[in-house]
Amino acid sequence: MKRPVFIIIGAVAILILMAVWVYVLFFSSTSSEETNQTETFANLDLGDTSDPNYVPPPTTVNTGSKTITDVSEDMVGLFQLTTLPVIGYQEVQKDASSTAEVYYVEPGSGHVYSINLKSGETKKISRTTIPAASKAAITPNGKYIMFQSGNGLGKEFSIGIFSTSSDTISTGLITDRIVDFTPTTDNTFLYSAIVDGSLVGKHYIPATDKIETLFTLPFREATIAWGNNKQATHYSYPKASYRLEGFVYEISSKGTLTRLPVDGYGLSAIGTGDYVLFSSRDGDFYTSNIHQINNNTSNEASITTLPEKCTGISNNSTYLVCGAAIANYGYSLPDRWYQGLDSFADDLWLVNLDTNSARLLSAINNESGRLVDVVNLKTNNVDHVYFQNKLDQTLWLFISDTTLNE
Amino acid sequence: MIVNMRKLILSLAVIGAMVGMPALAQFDNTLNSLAAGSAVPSIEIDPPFPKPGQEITVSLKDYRSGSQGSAITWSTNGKELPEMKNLLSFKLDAPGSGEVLQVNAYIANAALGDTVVNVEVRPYYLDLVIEPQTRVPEFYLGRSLPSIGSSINATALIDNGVNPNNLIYRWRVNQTVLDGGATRGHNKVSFPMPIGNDSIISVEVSQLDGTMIAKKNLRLPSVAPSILFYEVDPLLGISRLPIVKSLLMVGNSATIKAEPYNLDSRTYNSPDISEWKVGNTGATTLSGNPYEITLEKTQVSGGFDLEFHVRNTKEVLQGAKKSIKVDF
Repeated sequence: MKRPVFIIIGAVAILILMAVWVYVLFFSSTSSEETNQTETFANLDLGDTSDPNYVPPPTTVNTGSKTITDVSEDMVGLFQLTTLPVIGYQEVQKDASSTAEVYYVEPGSGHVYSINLKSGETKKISRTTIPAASKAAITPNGKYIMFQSGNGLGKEFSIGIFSTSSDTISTGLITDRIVDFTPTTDNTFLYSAIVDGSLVGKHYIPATDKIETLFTLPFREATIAWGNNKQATHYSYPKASYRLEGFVYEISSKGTLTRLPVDGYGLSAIGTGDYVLFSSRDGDFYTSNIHQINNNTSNEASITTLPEKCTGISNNSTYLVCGAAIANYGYSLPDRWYQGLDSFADDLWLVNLDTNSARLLSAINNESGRLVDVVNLKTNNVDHVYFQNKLDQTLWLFISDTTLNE
Repeated sequence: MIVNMRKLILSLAVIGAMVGMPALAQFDNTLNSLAAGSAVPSIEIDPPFPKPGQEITVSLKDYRSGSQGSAITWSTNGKELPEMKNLLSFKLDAPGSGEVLQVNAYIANAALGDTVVNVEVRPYYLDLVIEPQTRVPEFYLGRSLPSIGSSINATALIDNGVNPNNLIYRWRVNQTVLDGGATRGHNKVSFPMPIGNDSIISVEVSQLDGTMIAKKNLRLPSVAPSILFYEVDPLLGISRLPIVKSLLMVGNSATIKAEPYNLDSRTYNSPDISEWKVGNTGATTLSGNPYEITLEKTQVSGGFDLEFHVRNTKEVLQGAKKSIKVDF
């Protein structure tokens, strides 16, 4: 075939295509039945082209987190108590007739503030400066406080007694090489300290300034999941790493250690006396399991979370309150979360360890519009759940419309 | 001929023991069984030292000529297992910690006569707690990991209720026996992390009469030290979120802390090199802390690379270098 013929055929084809394009552009139209609007585009009648696998995201109702001044007796829901970081907090009930207050401690200065949960009023209750304060714990009666100031080799630990007549604290040093500390429901403190190659658990009674040894672990690099008081069962495991094996020891009130049949890589745990919730690496994943101590059985938990995001409810060994996210939990947890490389948009869940079920208490992200990586949870054992956001260390409160163990 | 074969088998057993392949316990046991006289049937447990509740395989080893037609009746703790009748191998769960499971096999053979063999399974938890003497930041809740040349403390914990001083421990890292051999009461050892990706640490625990009661092998990971940068607020302290790629300086100054992970603690405390570079120029820290630097704006806007390098010049693998971009 000759070259001019090719050129003519090509030109004709281009002209036909241009004619079709001009017709589609100027003369074709479809009308939308739903909107009754005429659209200036051709309907090529390809049918439904939307991806049948696509599930539209749920509509986010961002009500915004409320401030504590919204709290009254009939208020329930999620409240952001502070906009600045805190290094320790406690719901304080001075006596049965008094209104509950939340004490919290400011980083760096160690100044203590109180929020009245009825009026929402915030006031500074201690102006005593604890230089470089980095962690604090307050007893539930609001009389005693324990501080860590500084970091590394230069860190110090002190006990403070709130003055009843002024906004000051009188302090005294504790000379033990403290690793971790927590208040008890009996208005005392539990702490762990390094003694030679061991980690020793101690009980400090600030009212009498007495210290007693509770137990000794034969290694240092341990995490202790403290019980509510000295008599409670505590749990201990070697600090978690996804590359190293861990195992859980139950520590009785007599200080004896019992190895539980709970082990794994990247293992961390929290126990209630009857159950242990533990999470560890499972091949390429990270899973949570519930171990029932009575019958030595373990089952995969209904939700996956890090046990560091859970707290127990005093006098009830069936429930835990946990922050947990619907997320992809990778095998390199918890290391990357500890480093701050991974974080989670948590919701608040009530986990029933007996039935292995979980009830959503608060869809934090939807309710606040904020990314909250829940840590340092505490409950008042009735309907209040306090927690901090790991991302900015702010303090939050969730008030349930029912008691937590119902 | 039989005598020569026996010598050969015994020689193989001795060579196998000298080469030292404890991880291949089944192989060892088979050799031992053969060496002790193939005419004696025995029961083999795999793994030989199970954890409490772990599934184990029970196998009858009967190499006697004419033993193929034997009728085998199995029982555990005196209770017959009819479903296992005539099986040479089956699986069952080890008992709880410290509990005893007596496994018996009654072998009836018209030609060889009746024989009873038994084995006792008494599992314990033998935990190896690895405590690398490497550095992680104070706020880091986890355990640090070993890096080449760093010191590691290992502790063996067995839950048999016996004081560690009344037990004998034999430690091995790869093919190196620690403490010069089996030693009484030494349930803790320290050793440097060998060169290589991973190493195997093993411990055997025996009673004072030499009877081994538990054994464990564990893979020790070896990682390269690394650095993450965190911003420090003079009042609020160190941020829990690292600066991954870049930092946008909002104020006139910013304090950055380089936090080494898994660096040998000795190197961290006295590094031969601890060097900051701001835009390829060496910078000095004024705080006295070599891991912390305070940056101040000198222009209205701009950016530079911030680099930190820490290293032990005698152990060159003990070191790390990392940089981020700083914009303002």
